[in-house]
Amino acid sequence: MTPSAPSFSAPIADLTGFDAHAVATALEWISVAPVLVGTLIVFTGALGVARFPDFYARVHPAGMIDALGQVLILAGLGIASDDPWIALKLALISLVLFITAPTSTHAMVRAAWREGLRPWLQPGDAEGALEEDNDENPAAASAAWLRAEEDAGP
Amino acid sequence: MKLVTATLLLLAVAIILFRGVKGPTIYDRILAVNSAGTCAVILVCQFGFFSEPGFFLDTALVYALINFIATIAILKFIEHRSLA
Repeated sequence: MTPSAPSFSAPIADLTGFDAHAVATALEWISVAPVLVGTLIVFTGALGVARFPDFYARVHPAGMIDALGQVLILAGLGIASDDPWIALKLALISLVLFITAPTSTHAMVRAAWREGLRPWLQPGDAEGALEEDNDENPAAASAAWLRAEEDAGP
Repeated sequence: MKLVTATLLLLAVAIILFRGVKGPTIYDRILAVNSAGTCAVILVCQFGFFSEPGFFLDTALVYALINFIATIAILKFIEHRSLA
């Protein structure tokens, strides 16, 4: 990244009176923080995907990767870039991921629920849930499923 | 910084794919593949950004869209046993 034509830094340099190359270097240093934080979030989310107890719990770290991690990393790269078109492309990729990733996660959870996968519950977690077992009442469906499990086996 | 972030992202992909291989239900596998695809998009963005900006970013954009469409198609096939 040679700041030969620093297009982000040029307006800031005009406004503040600093040297344009110094502003470009400063922007590169500023971009380190979001990239590192985003990488940490992606790594933590990966650990969560591997370690969480059931599918509905694993959706949460996966959504963290899809929403927070990629936005931070791509925003950091966009701050560091010296070409506004590249920053625009990075923002477009980030926006596409930000729209499509929760959509696919929602489709996954919906398909899993429709197929009959139920959350992992401890006995007592579903206490006070209603009696009706249908699609409009997920807590009651979990409670009914848990009760059936308790009735069936040890 | 390049090396640190790339290594951590590759480790993250490896951990996610471990869940994809092990996952007890098919939805765990789909979730793992989807997350690994997102990590791949981020990796392609970083690689393209540091090596040859502008060219790899289009690849990353197309890969993000393909990732989404593949996930939806697989889910639809599993749910309805057909893509119609």
